[in-house]
Amino acid sequence: MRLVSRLGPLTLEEARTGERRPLSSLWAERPAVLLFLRHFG
Amino acid sequence: MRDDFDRWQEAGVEVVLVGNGTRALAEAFIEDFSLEVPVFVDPDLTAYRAAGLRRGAEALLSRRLLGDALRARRAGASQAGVQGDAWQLGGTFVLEAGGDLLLAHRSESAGDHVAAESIDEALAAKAPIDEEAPAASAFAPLAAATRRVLDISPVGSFDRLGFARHALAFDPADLDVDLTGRRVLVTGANSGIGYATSLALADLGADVTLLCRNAERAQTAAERIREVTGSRRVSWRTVDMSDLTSVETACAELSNEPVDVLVHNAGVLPDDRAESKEGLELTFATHVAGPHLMTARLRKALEASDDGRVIWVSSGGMLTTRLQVADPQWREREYDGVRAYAETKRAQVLLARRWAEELNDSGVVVHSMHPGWADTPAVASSLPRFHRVTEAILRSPEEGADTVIWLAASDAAAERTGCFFFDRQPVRTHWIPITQETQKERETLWSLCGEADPDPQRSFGRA
Repeated sequence: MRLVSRLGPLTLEEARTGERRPLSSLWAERPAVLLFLRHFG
Repeated sequence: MRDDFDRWQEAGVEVVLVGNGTRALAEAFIEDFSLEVPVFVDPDLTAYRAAGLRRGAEALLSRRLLGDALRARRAGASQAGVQGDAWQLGGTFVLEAGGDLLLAHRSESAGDHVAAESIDEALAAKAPIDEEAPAASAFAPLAAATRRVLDISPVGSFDRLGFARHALAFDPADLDVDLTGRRVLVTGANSGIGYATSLALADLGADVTLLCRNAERAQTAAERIREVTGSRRVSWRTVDMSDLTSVETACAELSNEPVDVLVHNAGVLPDDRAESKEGLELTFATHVAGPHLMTARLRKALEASDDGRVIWVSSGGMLTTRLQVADPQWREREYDGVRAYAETKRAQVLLARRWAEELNDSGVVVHSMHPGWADTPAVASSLPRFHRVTEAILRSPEEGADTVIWLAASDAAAERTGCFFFDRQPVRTHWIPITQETQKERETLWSLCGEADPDPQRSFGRA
């Protein structure tokens, strides 16, 4: 199964605004670099 | 890497960080590093799991990081604690506009990062790469070979350290599956292991129905799962697993379509002896009578699936206890809630094995499992002293749910039936000889439950 098919439907909360955003919107119109951190710190 | 973020953003690239801690941790992180890029939080690890990122003891294995830590300690500094999930590793993904994958890097250990130059090259080349399922850890053979020897005590195996060690041997490809079209029922699904299971299976595409006692909590959980996973195929229904009439009514509706996976997760641990509506002892009614009746009533719906599975969520506590068939209702003994819990969890393992035999010809697979020591609301409220003492080493609900998810979703889990699993491996059901039941006791349990066709008016010791 493609990565975008797995990640795309998910929504995550943006830390500053608290708004949830579908991950598919990140790469819908422009390239995207997604950095998954091991932890904050 | 902040300069790189600026450079990529100026070139029209969306740069996003995802962390597994809370918003408060993320806000401190943003301030500490003066970040301007969007930072998302994923405390449920939904996106980490979807991205196939590793989780386990390799998160702590890094010669470079260990060297850094020792040098920092010698210099008088120490890290106060991990700002998120200690066992989770990260990764980097570069996507072209529209979603073609240009680069995928999943960390093999702490400190294993992709170089900014590699991201530059991927963005410049715009060449989609073949997507491969995440590979097993390099430590997998060692972890598998040493597991039996190291699992001699619950401490170090049932706890979060045990999960991290066992997870080294997990094959990430096992859960690289699409469950679209699979119908899953989970009892006790509004919190803890049931919730984590429901969320993960919905995330993998399954149609999940949460079966819960409380309508409000069921609705809240279903809405949360829909929000997090983006799935619309999450529903809920009230059912009280201790109430045989409630189970019958629910099954009459639920059996209209094939059921692919049934997860018996609902549980109770009362301090004092209590009875269900039908006068059965409450833990027996909830853990034994209700799930047994539900399995029987959904039998045809399970057999209508081409890959039906039944999973009984038992408990490691059952390993200390022998099956009790002389007085399963605690009518003649002084009540002990913890023991009643363990006895009924032992009965679940035996019923699972018996149902596996019963359903073997139809291809329906039946397993039981125990989640280890997981930090769930039920443990906190029912076993407050245990929770207080062990809190620091308890597994997360997601870790506790991992084997349920694996049993429900992986092809590997359907290769056999009638096993008792712990951390994705079949394990023994007896640690001490005194807990070994006789064949006659097993038959008595099966007979007590009305065999494969229970009568709620007469079975379970009612008549």
